[in-house]
Amino acid sequence: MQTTELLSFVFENLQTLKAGVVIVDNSFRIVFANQRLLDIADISFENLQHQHISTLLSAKEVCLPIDNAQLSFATELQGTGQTMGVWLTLTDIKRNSQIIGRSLMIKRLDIKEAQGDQSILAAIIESSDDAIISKNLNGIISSWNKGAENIFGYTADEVIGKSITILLPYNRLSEEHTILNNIRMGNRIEHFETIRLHKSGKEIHLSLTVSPIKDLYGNIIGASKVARDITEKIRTETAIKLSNQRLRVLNRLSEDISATMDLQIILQTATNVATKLVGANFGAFIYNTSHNDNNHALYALAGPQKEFFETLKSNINDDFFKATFANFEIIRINDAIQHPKTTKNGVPRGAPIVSYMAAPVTSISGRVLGGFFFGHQQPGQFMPEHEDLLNAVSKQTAVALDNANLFAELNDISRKKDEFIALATHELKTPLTSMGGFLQVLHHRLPANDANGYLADKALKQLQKLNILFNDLFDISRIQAGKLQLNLEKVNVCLLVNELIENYQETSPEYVFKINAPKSCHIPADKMRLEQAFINLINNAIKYSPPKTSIHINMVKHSCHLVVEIKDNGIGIDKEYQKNIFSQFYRVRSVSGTISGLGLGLYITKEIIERHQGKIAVSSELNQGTTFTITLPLKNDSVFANEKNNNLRS
Amino acid sequence: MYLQMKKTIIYVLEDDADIGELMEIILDEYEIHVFPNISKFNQAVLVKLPSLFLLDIMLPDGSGLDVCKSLKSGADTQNIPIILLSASYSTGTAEHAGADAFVSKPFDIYELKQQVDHWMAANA
Repeated sequence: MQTTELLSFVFENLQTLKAGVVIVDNSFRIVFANQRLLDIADISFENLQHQHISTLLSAKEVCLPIDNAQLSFATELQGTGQTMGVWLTLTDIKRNSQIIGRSLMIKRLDIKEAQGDQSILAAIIESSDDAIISKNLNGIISSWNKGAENIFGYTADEVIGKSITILLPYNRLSEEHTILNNIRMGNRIEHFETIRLHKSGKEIHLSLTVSPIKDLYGNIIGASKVARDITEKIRTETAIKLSNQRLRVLNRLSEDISATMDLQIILQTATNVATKLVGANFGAFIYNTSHNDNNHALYALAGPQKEFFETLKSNINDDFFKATFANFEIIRINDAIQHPKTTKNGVPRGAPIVSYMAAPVTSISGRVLGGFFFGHQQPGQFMPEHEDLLNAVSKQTAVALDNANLFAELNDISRKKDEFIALATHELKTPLTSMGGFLQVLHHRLPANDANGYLADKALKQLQKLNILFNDLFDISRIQAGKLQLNLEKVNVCLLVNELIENYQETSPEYVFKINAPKSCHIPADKMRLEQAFINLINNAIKYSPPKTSIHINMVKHSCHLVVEIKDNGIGIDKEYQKNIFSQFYRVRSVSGTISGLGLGLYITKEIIERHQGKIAVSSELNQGTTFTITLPLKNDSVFANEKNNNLRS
Repeated sequence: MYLQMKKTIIYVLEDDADIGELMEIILDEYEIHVFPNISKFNQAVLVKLPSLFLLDIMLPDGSGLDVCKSLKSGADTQNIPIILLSASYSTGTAEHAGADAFVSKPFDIYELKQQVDHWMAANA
């Protein structure tokens, strides 16, 4: 009884449900349908009772077993005369775990709403700038929006029903196969960059997104394709790439041609680079010979057809280049054969030049040093962008040429100066030699007790001073020419310094010399030069110290170097002057009026020490004294190796 | 040798006449022949050989270093001592040219005489 009550309650409720409900038995024959369903399907129950469910719902899933308790999907309901989209929910009816039937709950998909969505969608698709195309699994086009018309040039009428392959370039036909295979497997292809053909045959760069289209049952029935025109983007990217590449080439050129002072290398490098950058068949740099007739032979050629300029070499027609040398601007002609001003602009008739471009290379002084000339057999090869590139190359070349010319001038001046000093030294030493010799002879011939001997002695001492000054000047010229030559041998520096000090004690008895040194210390050195360095430092100590003060020489031998300290208690050097004292011709201003000298001694000393791979440093306090510290390596294979090549000793 | 009663001969290649004269004074115990240029010097060498050469380096018609090299490679001159004299070259250069000694200008007359005496004695 209770069951009957319950059943009638359930049926009542089923009747009032907003959704349609059908109940079928195990053989899918309809046993019940509520009023809502009869309304939706517009059918009477008499026409449904005992009918197979397929008369109402054709989807095969309706009769298939359900994995879970419930299954929902969209499908179509076949009512009288019309079909409609519905949302179907299947539930098995069980008793004692046995399936005894199935209930189907059917909700109508709101047609009005769906139609609204579709019209909005259609509007969006039509107004999109992107091409939105659908095709079936055989690649046959089924829809084609305005965007597609714009991008591909075909109208919808022209392409619907045709294969999508009409859009594919021949060498990309296999892409379609791959795309359709992916679509069949349900895969989406995103932002695939490729090339398709415009109706005119022109290539278009596209970014494609292709998605599978499924039917209401989830079957893949085709593909939707959204294509975006990226031709402009690709063009921009390519332009950026090209301009970056060109910048790199220009930078390289700048490095390469500023690294050399060789005119021919500069011109050849610049001509090669410029010819490549402007894409010329041949290129040349020709000197402007209107300033200097001797330069005719100097030029550089580049490019695959450089032989053309080789033939010009024998009979350089000045008119050909004059236009560029006279103009301060780039000349660019797309078609020299047709150009009315060809002769005026200097393109020689009969030359294999159609595209022509030339640029002057102008020195900072305003003089046109020469010019670049480029040619191509095809017309219209040179563009305004090539003018910019050529302009950059010309400017760099001009700077490099200016530098190289300045360098050559500087070298010439430096060489002349060295020659002058060497000659002057020789010329000055000749009278010094005979004067000194005759004075010595004179002194020799005087009786031992003659008072005039003192005068001859004085004169000889002054001659020695003069000789030292000349030697310093001569050393400077050699140092600057890099020709200060060392004759290395094993020198006992301790013995050398000891002997020097013994000498000083005799010649300068008004100073106290204190030496603290090991017995011996052999180092590879040029004995005369090293002695000269020590003499310079000791002379300085004497020169800048009051008499009766002491001069200390400390020598300490370390594991791989020898340290020599020469310390005085003299006037000292102001901190601000200390860094300059090793410079050529530098003299501390405050003493230059009172103490003689050219200011070359310390410069030469530093040079000698450094040529021995040593170091020299100064520490000083004003009115306290000065200490020079020399560090010399005990062994120096590299010095020996270098010097051996210079001095072939017998 | 026994018959040769004259003084030993020294050829001096020196373009400065005063220095040439100075040589004659300093080295008065030798017979000094001074030549102001290489061509006159070479003519004399062809005629008669001295016991010692004193060569200046910077000369109006060439370099004393080249003269030194050619003398040291000549069969009949290679054993004659050569002293190079110059204001502008170091001892290394002189040794390179094959000279036996180098005296820098300006020189000490006693040192020069000592060098000459030394090489004369060594080659006697």
